[in-house]
Amino acid sequence: MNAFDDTLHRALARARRRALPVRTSSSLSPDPDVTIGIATIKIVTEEQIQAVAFGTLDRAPTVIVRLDPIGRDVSDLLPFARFLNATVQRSIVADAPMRVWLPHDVTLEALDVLGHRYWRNQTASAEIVRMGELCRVIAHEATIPGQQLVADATAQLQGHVVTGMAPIEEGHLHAILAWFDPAVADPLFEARERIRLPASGILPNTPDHPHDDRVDRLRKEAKSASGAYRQRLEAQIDAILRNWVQHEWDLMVAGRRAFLDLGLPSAGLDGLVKDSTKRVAYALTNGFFPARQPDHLAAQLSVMEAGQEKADHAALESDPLLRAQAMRAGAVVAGTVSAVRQPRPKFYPCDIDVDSSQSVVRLRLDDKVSIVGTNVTGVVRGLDTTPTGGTRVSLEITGGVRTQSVLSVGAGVELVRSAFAFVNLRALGVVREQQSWIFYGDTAPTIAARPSTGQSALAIATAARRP
Amino acid sequence: MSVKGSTALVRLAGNPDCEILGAMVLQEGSEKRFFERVVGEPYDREFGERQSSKRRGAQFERNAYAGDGRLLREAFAPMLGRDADALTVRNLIDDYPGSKDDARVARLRITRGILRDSVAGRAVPDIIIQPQLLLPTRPGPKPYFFIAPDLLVWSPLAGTYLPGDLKSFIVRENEVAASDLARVRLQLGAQLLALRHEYDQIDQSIVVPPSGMLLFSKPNGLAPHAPRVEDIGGAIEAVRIGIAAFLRHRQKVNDLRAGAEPYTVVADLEPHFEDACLSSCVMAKWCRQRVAEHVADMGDVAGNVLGDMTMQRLLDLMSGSAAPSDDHEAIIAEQLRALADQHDEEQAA
Repeated sequence: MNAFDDTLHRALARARRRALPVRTSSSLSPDPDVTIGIATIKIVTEEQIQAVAFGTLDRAPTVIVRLDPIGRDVSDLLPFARFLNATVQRSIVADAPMRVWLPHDVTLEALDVLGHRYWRNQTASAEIVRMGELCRVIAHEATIPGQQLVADATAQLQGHVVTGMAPIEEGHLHAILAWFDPAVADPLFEARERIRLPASGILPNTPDHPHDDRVDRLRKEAKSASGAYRQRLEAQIDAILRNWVQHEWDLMVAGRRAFLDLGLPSAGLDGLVKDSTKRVAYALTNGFFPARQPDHLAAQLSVMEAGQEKADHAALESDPLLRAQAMRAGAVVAGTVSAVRQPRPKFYPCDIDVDSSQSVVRLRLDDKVSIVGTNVTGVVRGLDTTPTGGTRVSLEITGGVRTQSVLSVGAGVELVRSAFAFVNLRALGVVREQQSWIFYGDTAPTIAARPSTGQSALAIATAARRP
Repeated sequence: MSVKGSTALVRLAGNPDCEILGAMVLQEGSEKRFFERVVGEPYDREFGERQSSKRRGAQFERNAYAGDGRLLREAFAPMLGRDADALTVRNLIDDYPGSKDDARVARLRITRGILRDSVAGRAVPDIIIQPQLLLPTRPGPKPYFFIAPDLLVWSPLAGTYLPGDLKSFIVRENEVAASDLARVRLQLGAQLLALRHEYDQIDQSIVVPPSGMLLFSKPNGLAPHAPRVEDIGGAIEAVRIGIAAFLRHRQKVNDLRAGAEPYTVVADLEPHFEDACLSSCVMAKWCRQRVAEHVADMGDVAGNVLGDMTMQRLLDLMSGSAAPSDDHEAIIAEQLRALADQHDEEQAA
């Protein structure tokens, strides 16, 4: 959504005192059978998890409170490690996708750091090492646009609704939820009150809730205490952490509920689900290998780019609201078929012209496009101005040539650029074999100058273009 | 967050148009105290660095400096192309510990001496721990900022020292969070300007390149990760703008206060509220009241898109009770009504 539309939505949300959907379709597929949630409380800057709540979303979570999170002994994390391993195993055995709900991206970061700490830790037990590896798989998958493994409750709401707050305030899950609660009369006031206490996987430390300093002090005291006194101190630490990790869990559950209650259909996500499931299944079965070589990094960036393209395309295909916004920016072209050149009906070759009233379009020659809601695909072969100041797009049809309902003069169509989602692994393999300087070297090789052909670069490019 | 030393310059660089920030930098005492004196009520939000963060930062530095900076030498040796055992270190905290001005001035004298020796070609340490620099802003109140990089590291390539900072943020796959990097780059920018000032006093022909070094923590334990060399040309420029803004704000505050304390003239100063203030400034809530009835209350983007329009005007345009005064307002009114209709239809459905 552009800045102007976003601002008007915010103004309207504030006037209506409720969150407004900005999409008519979901970017997240329905929760699969294997769906879990994780919420954490970490020590600020230390990035050590001091409490974790986990489990399935239909019941109360299991909570682990760590009395000495900075210590080397991580056996207290074993129940979490076993739960994560068992969940993954269930997904592998069933050959089914998995979903991990988190309250926000700080939890994801905490899991990622946990992964970095233990996935290659030679002094940790095998179960903890496996937990570290699974955390890295989860965190890595979450970096790929369009992925369907991790559902960040805050990000899901941010991506599908707008509230009357500033965007920066929408990073606070508890504040967003104020705009979903009909019992809250003034969500703006309520949300800003809620922001006083963090909803970012850390303990609050305000004058009226100085829990972080308190736990810090209690830990120090407990270290030198013993017997019943020590137990009392530890019980106090336990109570504070248990309370706040439960709060994080509750926010996650409420965030998920608010998102599901939007009732947005999740059509068109099959490709994304398939890709995500395949990537995750491979990593879960074969282990996690971070990309560090240049060619591997290039492949990883290509996978991310492909994911973004596919996610954008799926959103445009299935969401009329997004298409309307994209039309204003020229990224989608709506028009009418004004000519069909098809010597034999239902057979190739077939070319069509689409006349649109849009004067600004983002399609370019040779772009691959599809007609929304059909199986028809084509390539842009011409772009001209219509007598009324609109745009005529000439297409060579490359797929769905039998779909006569849209390949007829007068049919209304919407053209959207196809996702360029191709990861050229073969080329990157050649790069690795040849150790190409552009990937592996610092300096370009010296190439001897050849006499000029006298042709301009433009002429050479034009000659290379397909007639 | 503090409003002293390089942190003050970092904050001014981030929001150079905020005169309130200028007054806060000039005011003695903490930022929280400034709020309480202006607003007349206690600050009810989280303030200052958490104990756990302070402890981790201090421990990280202690580890790095221990054993004649053994971990530091090991971290910098590959970058400097030298054997770690051959690198020499001088820790100025060993000479003059503490953060009082006397100790700072003493460390500044030693730092200046080492810089002079390096220019003269005499033997100098490869790494200086806790050097002291300053950035002059005289004449006027607060005539200088003490700038204290964690390190100065001799760069054979540049033929000068370069500033370095230790941060206990965790590096994952050679990356640290972008938000963490942005602030420390500005810090390096302030340190480099102060270093250039010192070199300039010795020899104006010396060129200190716009680079700084950052040392973050490995995920396990508190050992330094391999150093990062940062290009800080942009940060230096931002800090220059911040210093220029401070000089402007100081002039205005001085003209208004007539000898009184800076916080007394806050009502006559111009705040410049931005979204980022909400996470970095105790005065954010107070400054925000100035834009409370305007679209800027919905964020920087809304302020940029709709300018100085009030929320009431926006609602009047939507309801049709006010006529648009120009084409821009006409488009806003039309779009808002269309949006409202669309959402009403959806809700009815």
